[in-house]
Amino acid sequence: MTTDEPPDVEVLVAELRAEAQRLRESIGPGRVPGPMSREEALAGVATVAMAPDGFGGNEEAANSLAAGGLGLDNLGALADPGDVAFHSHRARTGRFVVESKKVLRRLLTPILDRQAAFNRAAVDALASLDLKAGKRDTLLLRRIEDLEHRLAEAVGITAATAHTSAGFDARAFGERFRGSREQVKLAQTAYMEHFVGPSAGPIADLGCGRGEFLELLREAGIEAWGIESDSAMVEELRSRGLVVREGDAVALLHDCADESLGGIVAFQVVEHLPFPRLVELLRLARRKLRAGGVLVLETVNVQSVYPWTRAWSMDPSHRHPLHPQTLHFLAEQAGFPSVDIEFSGPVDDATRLEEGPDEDRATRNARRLNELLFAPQDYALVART
Amino acid sequence: MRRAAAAILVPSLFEGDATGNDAIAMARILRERGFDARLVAENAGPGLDVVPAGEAGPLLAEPSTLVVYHQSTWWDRGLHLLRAAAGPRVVRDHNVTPARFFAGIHPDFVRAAEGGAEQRALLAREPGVLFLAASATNAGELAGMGADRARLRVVPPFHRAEELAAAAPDEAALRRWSHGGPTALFVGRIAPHKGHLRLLRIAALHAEMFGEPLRLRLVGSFDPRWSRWRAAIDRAIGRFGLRDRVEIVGPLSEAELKAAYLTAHVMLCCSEHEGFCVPLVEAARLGLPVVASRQEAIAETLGAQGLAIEGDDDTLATAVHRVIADADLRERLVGTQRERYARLFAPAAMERGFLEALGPLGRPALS
Repeated sequence: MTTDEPPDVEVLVAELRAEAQRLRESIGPGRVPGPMSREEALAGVATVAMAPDGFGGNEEAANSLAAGGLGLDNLGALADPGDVAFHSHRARTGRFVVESKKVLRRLLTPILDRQAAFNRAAVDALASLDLKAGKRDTLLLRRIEDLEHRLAEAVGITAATAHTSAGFDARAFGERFRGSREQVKLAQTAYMEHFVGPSAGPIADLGCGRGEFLELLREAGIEAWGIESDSAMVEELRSRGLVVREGDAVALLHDCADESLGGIVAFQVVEHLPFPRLVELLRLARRKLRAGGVLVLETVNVQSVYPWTRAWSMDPSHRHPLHPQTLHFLAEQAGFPSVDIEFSGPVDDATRLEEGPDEDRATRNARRLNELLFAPQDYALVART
Repeated sequence: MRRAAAAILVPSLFEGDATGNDAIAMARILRERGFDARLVAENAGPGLDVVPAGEAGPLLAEPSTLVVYHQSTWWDRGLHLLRAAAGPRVVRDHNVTPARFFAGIHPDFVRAAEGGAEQRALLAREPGVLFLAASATNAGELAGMGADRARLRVVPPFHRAEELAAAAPDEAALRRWSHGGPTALFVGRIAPHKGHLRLLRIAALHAEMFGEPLRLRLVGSFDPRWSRWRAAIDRAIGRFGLRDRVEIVGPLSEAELKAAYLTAHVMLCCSEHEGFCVPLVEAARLGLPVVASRQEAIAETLGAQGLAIEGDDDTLATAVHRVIADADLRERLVGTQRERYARLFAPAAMERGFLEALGPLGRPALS
């Protein structure tokens, strides 16, 4: 074969395999540990603080040591005491000082080499112990997860979604009790006054459900997309030509560029969120909205007894009631300079107590009771950046 | 009458980044063809002339504007811009690393990978779009997701191998890296799918099987959110007894990267997931022989005569040793790589391939 010809890769690989096999047979199992899986490598490794670029050797480890944050991983970088750069801050004698240090380093080399070998052996031994401890940790964590799962099964909820009762079909529930798509769309039309013209977009609809508001926005020529966790619903919305991401609304909102959105809306969503998640959502929304952007969060009006005994109590996935003033306060805390509360969903006159034609005691009492019992069923936080 | 416009849409534009390099090269070629080509991005590095994505609406509303959308991650505004575009639409597909590789490392990357995959699947079903896949592997994936095969073309990503070849190597790096015995180089970010654990084991096996230490120089960018993975690699270095033989360096300047290529004896690549592998193209241009573990897109980048080995770590360690020790084999491998580079990845071949893929869309109409 001449050097101009490409190698016959098939033949070459077969040769290499045979050679590797011969060598392995002559060496035996050897001392190199077996292949390491990703999980094995990560077992027991806690999240460690790194320099912003993630690189660096002794200096980084020494800084970490000075900060009291030295872990086993950084310890390895310090194993060789002779692996240092020589510096001097003296302008005139600096070169002499550096050269002297280098001579000293050479004289100390045999001692430092022994020290380095000992250090490496110690670090490796510690790493091995750490690995064993990590494996034990992993086993214990699995046992805890298993126990949590069994406990959750025993009490009828899943560990991951404590707010969702086992076997509860939120979609079917919504279909039955939330009202038809047309009704919901009609009710949400009122919010369109906050989003006028194509320049109002893009709008993110968190927990977009059946996509009523996305349709309203599309009809108004405003670009919008939704986030929905129900995968069947996501498929259906996409088949209707709507843009939807599947997943957790708050988590996916993180992906948007800061100050890139004209609006964020969430209808009947916030009452399902754990409180810290709600606070996170408000802060995130403040960050993702551009100047003049609008946040609309609609939820059940817990000041009114009527929705309390119906919409609120019927849905087992509701987490906690949110008083309008509480949401107002949280939005201010998140940094929204302008915050309003808008009430919606009036109770039918037929349901309300009849107020007489005269302004007498009975009428005044009926009015007071109407305000307490039959105040609007929903309210929306409308916050502007 | 004015020149027809082209809008190259990319979520983030940074020089040195694979997607950024690709987008910038496409804009340059389209300009040379007579287009008024503009880069449209949400974020951009300093000094890059871009149209902010929020202001690109009017440009895309022109029926004569050619739109080239670079798909790599979830980008809601980009998707809307693409869908609202009135002119011809091209989607440049960059592979998305599967989310499973990032599980347990950082949720941001799991989400980003899931979002990228979701949007990729959405776009694959987008009607009336011409798809430019970075490799036949990627094209197959897109077709599997519903993309119309008749509108699928393979165009490798534009790279900077020529700029790298023209750059003067960093003198200090050359001095630092010219000693230290046989050296294997890997270029790729310190990410969980890049096969670093396997590289370490192969280096340890090389010493055990051939009685000769192999130095590993790992070049690549790093995100601080991967600190857990970086710590896992550090610990694996200790476990394989390689503390004095592994250097994690980078990211490097162009001059330093050139020095890294020039001072290495072999490029070793064990990446578990790639859509295309630009460092293999750079190695080909700079005459560094490549030994790789077989993965579909890596084998495709290297071609049938490249050394992409389906085998265990012993075989890969043996291959590394043979390529370093056997000058004749090294020469033939380098020759094969160079020939493939000239045929497929040299600038003229790349430009020709890109324009052929665009077909009539690559000819600007006056408006």
